[in-house]
Amino acid sequence: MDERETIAACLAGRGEEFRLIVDGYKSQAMALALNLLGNRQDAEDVCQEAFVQVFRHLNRYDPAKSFRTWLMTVLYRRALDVLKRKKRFRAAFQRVVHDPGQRLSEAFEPPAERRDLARIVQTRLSPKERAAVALWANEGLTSAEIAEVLGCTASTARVYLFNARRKIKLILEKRDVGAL
Amino acid sequence: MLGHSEVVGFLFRLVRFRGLRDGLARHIEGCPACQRRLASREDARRVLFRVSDAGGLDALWPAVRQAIASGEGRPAAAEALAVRAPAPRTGWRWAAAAGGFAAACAVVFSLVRFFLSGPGPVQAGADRPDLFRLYSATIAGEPAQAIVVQERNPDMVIVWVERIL
Repeated sequence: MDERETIAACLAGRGEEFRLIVDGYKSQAMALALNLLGNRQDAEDVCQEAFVQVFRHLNRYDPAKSFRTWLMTVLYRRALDVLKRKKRFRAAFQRVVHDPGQRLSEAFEPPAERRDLARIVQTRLSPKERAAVALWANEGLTSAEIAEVLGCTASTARVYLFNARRKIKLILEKRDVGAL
Repeated sequence: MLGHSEVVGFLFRLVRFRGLRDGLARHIEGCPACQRRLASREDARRVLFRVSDAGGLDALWPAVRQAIASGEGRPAAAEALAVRAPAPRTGWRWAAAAGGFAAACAVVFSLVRFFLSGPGPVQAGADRPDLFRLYSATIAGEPAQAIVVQERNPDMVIVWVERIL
């Protein structure tokens, strides 16, 4: 998808054209948000916020760089904010009452096995490891591109990816022998 | 006895020197034994949410559009693209600005000195802009006790309300 024309149109005042970008990237954004946050409600909120923030800062986009990477960076940082807020709240209280609020998407459920495995991944991998492996496996990003999203060096991104892949391998091995 | 892939993996996680770490990374990427200890892309997709899972998002664009229309998002490019006539350079504008700034500093300094000097009356419950106010708390019409926790983060106040038994 060539976003440059769409972005130029948005900057010229035709904001409705931004729909093309939202429709073009919403599935990828949602997948990353789900892998980071582990629940649909937070993922939908973060996706919406990320697209709004990207629209607000379209004038800062550098056409020489990948738009997808930029969008993923914004979304990743919004997701981290949510995780930090929840961590602070849980530290103060034992129980968290979650208000589902309005739902954006229709119900969708991945297969039960993958849901269970995804839950295990949420507990065993850190947010950065989840982000690194999700971007590598789902989006095919290189270590350098992952580093750009995570805001670290390519060398550090490789460590996150290595740790994530190693942990997932162990999870699957234990699963296959019935230990999980 | 540790295999070389275990040793390489251990070193890779341990070392902080970038040059050595990059060398180990290149080895891992090209070594079949080391790769066997890591999940492949297909393995990772078994445990991750995929793009194909993220269906039914038809309501996302309307929500984004509404947020933008309500003023949450407005591309700054509108200002960036606007063509403005260059302001004429006149020295008196800079002198006036500097004089105004100096006057403002003098006013602020005077106010600070006034409020810091002398005892002054201290009123109970004096207003402070950072004070969080909770006037009453009830649960189902019954009086309740409220505990307010102000975190170091000024953007968050946690309120716990419990019925008085």
